[in-house]
Amino acid sequence: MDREQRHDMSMSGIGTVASGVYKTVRIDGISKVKGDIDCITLDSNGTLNISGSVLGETVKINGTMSIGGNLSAERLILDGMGSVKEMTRCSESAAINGQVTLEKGLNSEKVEVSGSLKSRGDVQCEVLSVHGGFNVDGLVNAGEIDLKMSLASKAKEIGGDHITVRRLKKAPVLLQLAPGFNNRLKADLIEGDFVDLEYTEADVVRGSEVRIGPGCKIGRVEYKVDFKRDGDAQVGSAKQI
Amino acid sequence: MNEEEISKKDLLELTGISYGQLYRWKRKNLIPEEWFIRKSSFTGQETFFPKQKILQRIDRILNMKDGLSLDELADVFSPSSGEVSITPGELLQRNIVTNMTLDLFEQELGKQDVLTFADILSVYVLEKLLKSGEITRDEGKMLLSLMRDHYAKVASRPCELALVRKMGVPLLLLIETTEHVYVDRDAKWVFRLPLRGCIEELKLKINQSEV
Repeated sequence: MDREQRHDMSMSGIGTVASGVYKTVRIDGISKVKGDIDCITLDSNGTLNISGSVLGETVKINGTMSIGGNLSAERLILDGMGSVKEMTRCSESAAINGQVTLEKGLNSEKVEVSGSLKSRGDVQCEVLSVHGGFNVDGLVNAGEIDLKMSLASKAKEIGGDHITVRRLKKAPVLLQLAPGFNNRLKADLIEGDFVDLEYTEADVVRGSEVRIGPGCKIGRVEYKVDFKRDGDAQVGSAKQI
Repeated sequence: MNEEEISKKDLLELTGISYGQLYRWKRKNLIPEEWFIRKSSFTGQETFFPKQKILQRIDRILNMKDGLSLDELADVFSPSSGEVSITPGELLQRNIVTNMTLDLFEQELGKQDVLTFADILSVYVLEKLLKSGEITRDEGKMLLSLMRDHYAKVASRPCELALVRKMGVPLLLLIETTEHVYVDRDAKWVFRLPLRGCIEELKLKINQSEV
């Protein structure tokens, strides 16, 4: 629909918003949407519950959000908590401050997370920068992956150009006993051109230049050009290919 | 179909590409998800690819990568039709089809000013099969109506076109590739043609002749 023909929708308080096509949707308070929303801008403060899909250019959420369908946006800014049942696509960027749970997966260009990112499917983007942790049941595929952990992180597979994993700071001893706070990365397989890992447990790491830093437990390393290993790292075997 | 497979490690060694490139191409959908075949091996999980297909694809990507951006490349390889419409005259001019095939198409479905991508694909496939001598003109007409009736349903998915003959009676099938089809022993497969390959060839032809 043409931009001109769209109308604004604004709601404050508690209520239900009709699904439909809008220009700007602004919601303050607690609201439910039955069905799909197609808008230019969605701006919500409070609790938002959408049973259908969201299509928009800018989606900005303060508070909590849950979407029953797909989320397709150019830019997503989420401060708070969110969950998406179907696929999430953010063609330009996704900034997540807080916690997000994606049932299907995420496709984006640039993803910045402060907090925790949980996905049951693959996460694919060009740049993925995480302060906190992620928990991905599928493949994390990104050109540049920069993970600074303060939470336990997990991924089935990680692949990309540059992969850097660091620990923000060591958790107190007592907290380390609780699994959620033992901030290490666990992965089955990590493959990249430049792989630089700390505090990571992985079965296999492959890459052209590989650095295995302190606190790592790696089953097997295969490298092409260069391999550096910290004295504190446990590496089952390393082989140049 | 049992195809020869190649492990990811051997593939990288053979083609000289890096992990980063492979993952980037996967992200851009230049390499379809179905080609990543995960198998467990003595070293844990290994990924394998259908050898013929992946080598051909990587060769094409490497050859075209200088001229086109990755997104344009993705468009070439995607099974969806894209926004192409060409007049019959242009098709002839660009040597995509010959006059004979186009005549057959127009006899069957009437003259059209502009052909959609699905139509162009039908004509192109028809041309290819007529040239290779695998189908007759009558079967070609069947093909055109089959594509007209059913192609839209499978357009975005990988599919195959197949011809089975039994006692001289032709039966033309449009199959979604993941399915296996078995026929009784009197029936004979004449050909099985994956449409995705044709779509790529056709898109390349259309793009190249535009440049």
